[in-house]
Amino acid sequence: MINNYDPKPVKIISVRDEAPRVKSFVLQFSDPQDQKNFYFHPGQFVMFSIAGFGEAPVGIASSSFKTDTFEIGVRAVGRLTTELHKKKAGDLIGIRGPLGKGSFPAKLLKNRNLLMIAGGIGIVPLRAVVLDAIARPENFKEIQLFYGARSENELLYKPELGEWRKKIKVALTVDKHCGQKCPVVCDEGLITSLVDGKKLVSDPVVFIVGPPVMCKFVIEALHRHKVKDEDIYISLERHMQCGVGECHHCGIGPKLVCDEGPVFRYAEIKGIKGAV
Amino acid sequence: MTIPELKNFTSFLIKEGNAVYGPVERDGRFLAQKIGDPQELVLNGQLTYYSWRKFFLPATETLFNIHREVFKKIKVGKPQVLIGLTVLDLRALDLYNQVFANDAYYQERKRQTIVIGQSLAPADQREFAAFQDSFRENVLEHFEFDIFFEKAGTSFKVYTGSEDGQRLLEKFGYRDYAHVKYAGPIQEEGLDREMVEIKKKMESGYNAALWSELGKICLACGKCSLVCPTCYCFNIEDQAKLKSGEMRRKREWTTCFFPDFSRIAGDHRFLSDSEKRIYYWYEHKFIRDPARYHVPGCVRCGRCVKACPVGIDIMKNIRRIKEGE
Ligand SMILES: Cc1cc2nc3c(=O)[nH]c(=O)nc-3n(C[C@H](O)[C@H](O)[C@H](O)COP(=O)(O)OP(=O)(O)OC[C@H]3O[C@@H](n4cnc5c(N)ncnc54)[C@H](O)[C@@H]3O)c2cc1C
Ligand code: SF4
Ligand code: SF4
Ligand code: FES
Repeated sequence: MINNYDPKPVKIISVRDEAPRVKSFVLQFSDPQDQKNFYFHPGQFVMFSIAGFGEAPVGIASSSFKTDTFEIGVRAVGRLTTELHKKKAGDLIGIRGPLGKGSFPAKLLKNRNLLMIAGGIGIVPLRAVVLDAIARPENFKEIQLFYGARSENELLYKPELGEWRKKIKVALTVDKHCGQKCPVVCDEGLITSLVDGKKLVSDPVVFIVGPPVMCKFVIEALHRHKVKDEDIYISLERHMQCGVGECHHCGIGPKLVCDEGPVFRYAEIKGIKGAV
Repeated sequence: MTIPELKNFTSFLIKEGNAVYGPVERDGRFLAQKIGDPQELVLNGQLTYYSWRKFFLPATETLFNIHREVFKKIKVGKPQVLIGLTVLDLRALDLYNQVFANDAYYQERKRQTIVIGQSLAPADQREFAAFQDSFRENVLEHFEFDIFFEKAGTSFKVYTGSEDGQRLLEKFGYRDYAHVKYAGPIQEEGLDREMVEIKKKMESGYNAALWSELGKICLACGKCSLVCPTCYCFNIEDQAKLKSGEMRRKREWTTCFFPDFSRIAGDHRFLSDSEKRIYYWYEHKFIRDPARYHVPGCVRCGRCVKACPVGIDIMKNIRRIKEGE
């Protein structure tokens, strides 16, 4: 019987500073067979672990077409994530996954325009979608990204944003300008003001990843644009211990976020008390 | 099987080298404990104060020994014989068997466990507010057990539910048993009607009066969860070992009543108060377990009623949920 709790060793290939307290880690499974088996859909997550420090769920940031390595982006907020930030290229950590049956519905995007809305660290799993779109434009229609952070300083993937901008529509906003330069012009204000103020791609499918409060207001703003709940997909964050549907820390009504999510079609969860 | 025969059977199990656990009386409570002397075993159809959870999901268990980032799975448990689970406890096992269907540790432990059930004492003699529809023979085919003792007058009618159970009885020299073939956890008539009804009621709207009332009196102490046979939430935690430099990854019980259960980065807690926590507890049992596993998340044993320091009574609350007032 396969042990769902067994972390597979992965080697850190490289580490990049993205923003204060946020780093990207390019990873590769020590066993080439494990690397080969690691096939994911953007929106899925992994549990990373460091012996003696525990495990935590994080999104996958790299293109799903990239098969020799994969990437995570992690903000240091506590014991485990701070320990991860001490790791260097060549060090080993553990990975379980990909996890979650609910991912972004890539198939829809062959015929539909896409709007992505990311707040803070929420850009991590959406970067996988952006990179997929850049790698296989024939699988996508028009794409628009709204991305908000506290300040220019806190925006992730800054060196890439200019490149993204050439292929897709990108609009950025920060709560407050900090004076730092950014390759793409930044508004000042809440992300909902982007949704309210910009012209949206027509009749979009929408992907949302961000802190719980942001999601609530973004959905209200989308309703003002007459976007239907059936067309909204949202990634939910919950406390997770097992990641495999057993510990029930991540319940919303009849569902478990780690198992049936983390990405849900909004129409299917909007009736669940406290889900969004 | 007569009562003296049952004692002999228990002695036989012990002599065979099994660790045998069953209800014994301690300070006026029945507790499932290791049986040294078969005279101590009490099969009177009463529920044990605590559930049998720990025999399937220990309060803490090591998942891995870790040495230099290499995770070595530990070998699980030792063979054990559990004698005296009531039908309500067996029904709770139905749930665990679904939840942990793909859990290597649970399955390994289950394979090493002989489960011997007993019928529940009649309603007017029960010490718990336990609720059970009348005992029908076809109930047994929906439980996974090895042997079952049904109280019949002063002796027991014996059923087997597995080859392991048959082998044990044969070896002991007892052949007067009927075999029950396991037919899965769901009855022929379909999903448990009461379960479906309560789920529907809870999903149809938030009964603000009920939950805010419970939220005001519940202490969020988690005692109900500790004794409950269908609770199974856990944490996973790493532990640095003292000298060798080795470490352990462990899993241990927790409950949704504890403050950190729902905490995410930024110190946000989805379950920020007692009302949200007790609702989550009920939601888990009456909405999520039925939705995911198709069996009830509460077997109505009444253990939580007995354990609750402020007298919160789940049977009453179920009635209120059903009445929707
Ligand atoms: C589906 C999903 C995807 C995520 N993706 C990312 C990502 O791409 N990048 C990123 O930086 N963060 C992400 N997070 C949040 C990340 O999991 C937490 O920041 C991390 O668990 C904090 O761990 P810590 O030990 O450093 O924090 P501490 O505050 O020291 O400890 C918190 C402990 O609580 C537990 N815990 C379990 N789930 C969570 C949770 N969701 N939030 C906080 N604590 C949790 C862990 O055991 C953790 O060790 C994601 C969370 C979820 C649910
Ligand atoms: S009655 Fe209480 S203790 Fe018994 S299964 Fe239901 S919730 Fe658990
Ligand atoms: S035992 Fe009673 S007071 Fe304690 S958490 Fe349970 S319901 Fe609340
Ligand atoms: S994280 Fe354990 S059930 Fe979802």
